[in-house]
Amino acid sequence: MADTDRKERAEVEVPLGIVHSALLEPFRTRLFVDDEMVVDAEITYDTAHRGIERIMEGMPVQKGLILTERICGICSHIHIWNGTRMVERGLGIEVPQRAHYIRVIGAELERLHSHLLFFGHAFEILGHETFSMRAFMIREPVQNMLFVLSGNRVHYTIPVLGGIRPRCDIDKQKKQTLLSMLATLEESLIQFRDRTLNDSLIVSRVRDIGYLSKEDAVKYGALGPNMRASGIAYDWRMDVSEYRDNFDFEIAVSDGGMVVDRVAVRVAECIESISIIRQALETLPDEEPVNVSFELGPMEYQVSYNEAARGEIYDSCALDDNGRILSYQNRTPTMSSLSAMEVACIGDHLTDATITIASCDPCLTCTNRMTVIDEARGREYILEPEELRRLARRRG
Amino acid sequence: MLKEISRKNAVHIMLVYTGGCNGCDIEVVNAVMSPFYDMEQYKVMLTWNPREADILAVTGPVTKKFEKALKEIYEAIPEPKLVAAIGTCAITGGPYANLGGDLGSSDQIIGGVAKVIPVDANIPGCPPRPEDILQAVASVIPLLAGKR
Amino acid sequence: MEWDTFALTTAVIPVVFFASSTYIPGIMRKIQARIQLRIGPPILTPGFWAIFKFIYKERITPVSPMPRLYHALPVIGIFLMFFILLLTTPAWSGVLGLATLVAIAGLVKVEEALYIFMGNLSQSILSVRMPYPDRIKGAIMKGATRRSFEQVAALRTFKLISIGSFPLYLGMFVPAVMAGSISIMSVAAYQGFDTAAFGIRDIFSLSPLLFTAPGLVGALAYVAGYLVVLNEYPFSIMHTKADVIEGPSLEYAARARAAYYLMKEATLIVMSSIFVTLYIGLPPVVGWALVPHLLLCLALPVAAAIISAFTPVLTFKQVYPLSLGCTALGVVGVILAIL
Repeated sequence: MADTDRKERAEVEVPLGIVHSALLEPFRTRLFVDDEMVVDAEITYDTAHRGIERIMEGMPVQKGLILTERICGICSHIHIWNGTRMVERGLGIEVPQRAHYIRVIGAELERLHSHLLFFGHAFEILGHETFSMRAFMIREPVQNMLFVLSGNRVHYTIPVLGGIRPRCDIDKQKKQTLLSMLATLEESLIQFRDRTLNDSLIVSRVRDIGYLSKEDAVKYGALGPNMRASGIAYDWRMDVSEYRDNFDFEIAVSDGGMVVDRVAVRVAECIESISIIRQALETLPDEEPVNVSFELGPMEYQVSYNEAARGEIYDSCALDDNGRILSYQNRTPTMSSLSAMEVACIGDHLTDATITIASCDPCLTCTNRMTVIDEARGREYILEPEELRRLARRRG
Repeated sequence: MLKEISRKNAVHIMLVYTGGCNGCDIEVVNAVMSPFYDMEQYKVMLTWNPREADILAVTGPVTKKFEKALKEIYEAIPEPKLVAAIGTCAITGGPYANLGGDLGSSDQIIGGVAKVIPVDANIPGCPPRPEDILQAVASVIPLLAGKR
Repeated sequence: MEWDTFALTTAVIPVVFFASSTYIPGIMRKIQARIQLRIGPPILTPGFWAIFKFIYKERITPVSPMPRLYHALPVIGIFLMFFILLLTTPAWSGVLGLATLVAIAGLVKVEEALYIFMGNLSQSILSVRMPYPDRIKGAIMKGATRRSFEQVAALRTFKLISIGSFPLYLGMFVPAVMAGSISIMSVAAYQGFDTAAFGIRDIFSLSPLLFTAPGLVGALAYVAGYLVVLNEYPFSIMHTKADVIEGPSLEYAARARAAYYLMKEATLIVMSSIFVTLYIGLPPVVGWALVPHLLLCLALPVAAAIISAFTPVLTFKQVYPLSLGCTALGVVGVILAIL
């Protein structure tokens, strides 16, 4: 069908949200449909904006870093880790290797629980309540592992400047508990993978929809597993020294670019995460987990990147003479992934469009906070295609 | 008589996320959807329709963009109805309501849910555990039965 | 015609079925919950207590162009379902010549069409009416027409009616082909049912069509059609949570919602009862033979619960081929029956 035909036809709008059973978080989706096929989509997200970066302005850095964790309840550890890492690099604080290992364990457990939450959510949208519940059942041990590691199920606050909090240190008994829980988790996860990805009805529902080509993924800046499902083999973990120097792992890539690939990439990442956690637990160096001999002082503008469960995360800030935060910025992956999904769901059925949008695993609480910083500064560089293209080019 | 028994024996709960950090949301989802906790065994069933609901579970601080929507959803629920504010942010607005020092209150956040609609149950915690949520919901059901 | 039997049947059968239908959603939910490795709600909660709870809720006016008609639709549905049920009883077999499969098929069609009216008569808060500033004043608007969830659902109902219920009708007509008559009593009589005197001991003398080759194929088609008529998973695209949340029933509250629940429950049990009448040869009669009939009526809901626990909701991309496949199955059944 030619584009001109579409413009002449009266488009019908089906608005979804801001309270909706499939797109749980508060955002508005307007789908423009022809009969029931989506011809255009528009996603508006600013409902959950809370102004965290504004609150952090002038806060003592330790306090501010704890607040970064409250950006998001799903990927909380990666926010505080990336912020801590940035300040440590800027101030030249030495961090013991043991702390790095335990931070990595926290980040990988978080990836596991985030991906499993995604499976539960995705099956709920597909209308498959049983498998949704199975995913939540598998996820519960991960939450228990986080509880064993840090003492909380959500918002674990593992890193602190110079290392990790002593309550999160791993002693012999904790290590044994975590390893045995990990073994059962791996077993049930592999069973779940073999059962779901071979179920013909489910696969027929998620195959051939939500196609995002490699070019579109680069153009609209899909990040993380969404990018890797479109055939771009890049993961920030390859460039983060904590991962690169210490662990062997592979990057899961798929060329399909469809919803089923986004699911499959995440399943493969879960299994890879389990292997990283096992390596980290088995080769945990024996030393003090925290270095307390450092001084806070002024810090130049500093940048840090890392790989969150949903893709690239970016933090930047500077510190003044008293160690107070100046102009904290944080960019999360959902913003550009979600705009890629606006393109991916075109041409699908209305019911398929919601699973396509959800298949980028949107996390609106991170994203919303970020939109406004741009508004407040009058700068919209994140949305500029030029910047996105530059980011994508760098990634190759 | 029949009224009280029936209200105790079938309760529908509706979830509204008003813009929190997702921490409470995933614990609520855990409490409702996970077979590990399974809210249905306590006769509480999930719905997404305000016309069907008895209990409105709100998580997160209420943002200004959400105020009107929350009010209208509350009004769409027929009496008797209860509102449960889940998590610190839904009770007081959490760290977002008051910017502190000379900055005063936030431009984006109204504050707790109680500033917009009447709240019957506060469930504190950052986030509250699923067990807490289940216990709290189970303990407000008699309130529902007592209403006219 | 014996007027006392007629009056007794008309009075007793709907009441008994009405009462026993309230258990069925609870049984289905319990089965699904056990499959999902959880305890699940008590059997009375989803179908029985929920209805009383809704009756005691505050009555509100729905947001609808014709609120009274909107509220009347589920009541019409309930009466329709029990009228269909009465047509399958032996006592009604002579009344107005309506006790045929053609009349039943037509009435089921009307029941399905109620959802179209429902969908067009409702305006929920959740879609178009949600207060959210996403349409900027003064700008050129894309999508001048806004379609609410209920209208989308009405559109889908229309598509489902036109294609989805073929298997049901073919499943209904396989026994008619075998018995050589569209009269329900002849179908039952063909399987050994004696209209004049039927006691509970005569059940074992029945020779159900279900256990013949064409009967089995026809029964499979009937089960597929049953799922479509109920809008149960996997054919629940009309009220899938993925986009339209609940579809046409979004604005029902309080008593009207109780009526809507009862309509669904009536559909569950009546369509199952028709299956028992046609394929086992045991129509609903006043007497002890009603007990095995009611027990057999549980078979289809239980099958539906198990099937729906293991299937996702299907979009039209899958519904069309699946429905056509089941239609083909029905045709095979008819051909086998003719042979």
